Amino acid sequence: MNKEELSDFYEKFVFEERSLPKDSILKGKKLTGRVILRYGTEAELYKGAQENGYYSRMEPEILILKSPMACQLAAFILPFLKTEIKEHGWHFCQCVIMGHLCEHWDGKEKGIWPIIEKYCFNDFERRLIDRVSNFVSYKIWEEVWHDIKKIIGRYLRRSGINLYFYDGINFEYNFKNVPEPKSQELLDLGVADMIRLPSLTIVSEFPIRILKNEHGQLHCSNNSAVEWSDGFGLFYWNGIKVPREWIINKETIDKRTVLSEPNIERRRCIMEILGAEKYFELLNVVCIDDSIDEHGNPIKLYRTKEKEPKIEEYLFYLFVVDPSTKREYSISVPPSYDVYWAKASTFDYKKIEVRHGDVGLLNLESPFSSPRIET
Amino acid sequence: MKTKEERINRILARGEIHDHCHAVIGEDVIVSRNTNNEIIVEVGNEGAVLKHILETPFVEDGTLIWTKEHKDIPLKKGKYEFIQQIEYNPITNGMRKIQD
Repeated sequence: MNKEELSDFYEKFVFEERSLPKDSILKGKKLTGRVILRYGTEAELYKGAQENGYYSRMEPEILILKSPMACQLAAFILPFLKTEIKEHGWHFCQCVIMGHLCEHWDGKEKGIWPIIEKYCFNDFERRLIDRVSNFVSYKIWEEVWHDIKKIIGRYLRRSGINLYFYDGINFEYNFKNVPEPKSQELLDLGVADMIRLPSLTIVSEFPIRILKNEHGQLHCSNNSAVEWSDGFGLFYWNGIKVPREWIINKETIDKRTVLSEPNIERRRCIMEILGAEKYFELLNVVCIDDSIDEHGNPIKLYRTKEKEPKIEEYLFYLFVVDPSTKREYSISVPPSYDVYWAKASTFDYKKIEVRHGDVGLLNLESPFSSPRIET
Repeated sequence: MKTKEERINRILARGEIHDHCHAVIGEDVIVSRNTNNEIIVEVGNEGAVLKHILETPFVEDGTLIWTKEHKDIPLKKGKYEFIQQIEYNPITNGMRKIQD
């Protein structure tokens, strides 16, 4: 989109920030978002009425909120409020959303469900299936998921629905009915993330803080690495998104945390956060074999001191150093007493010629006894 | 690798929580997948390179951005089978794909 097209884009909208009614449930609370209204022609509005089932002279077009989390909540809530939009106007819904968001970030986490139940509970589940699961998008944003689950867990458990949420760090855009702007233009507009609803686009403002390590990876050892102005934050450890508790309440990391974490990179983060000594102390293991690998790095095999009660077996962990990044990893291995046999198990005992992180290549024409190249 | 589908086909493995992938780059390469989900990489006379790059830019328009992890590995002519690193799951007594 060039400057002229961008200008045309602007002209389609009248930007207006609206204050909330004095008697709203937001009274005394901070406003966490603003609404951009579009003034359409009569023909457009009539068409909109046919499509949307209601007529509004000032149909809200874009809702700008302070954080992607606020957007997720608003997107979740809005479909249930369509009737109220029709009957009470946009301000009512805006108040509901803002009120809930304020309470959410004030740590009370209450407010929205009594309202939803009061106004919309009759077809809650049907609407949930029809709407929410369709417009939320790809990657599971685990932090959002975690927070959302706390709020809607009881409904999800009952309906067995999976929700997928935007990752606030991915800049994906798809304006409806207007040319799709490139990233830079959207950055110029101050849009950092967006969710499209049938008649409304919810966008998030930019974070107020982004912290990185010396390698340019998102990282902060004692706070959120990315933080938005409403207080919502994402926590990263050397480029890997981790749960808030791992950074803020490190003492909550326990053996269960490690054993239930399937991702090797996140287990590596735990090891780095706690330190290797504390990490293995947590697992209650003893080193049963060790050596120096072909890259000069230590390689160790650990076994739990006691059998794991649930399975009545010892657990075995291989401690290795990645030759490329020098990062330390622990990998769960089958019962083994030789460190190299344990390492071979991680590539199914196959004689791979090339090792590239978690990728191995077996030369089908001339197998090697050990990796010829490993990075 | 002119099309998005061709580029996706060159990806051997991708990160679960980070936008990275291991991809085979080169003109003289055939990557095939059989029904057992085995991936075979055939590299011709011109050779190829195994790269660790950001997935989205590569898939979208072929841009190669190194992740600064895992240096390029040149692949000489030959036929290779992709082997995914795995780890033991003591609960199921089976092996599972390493997630990274």
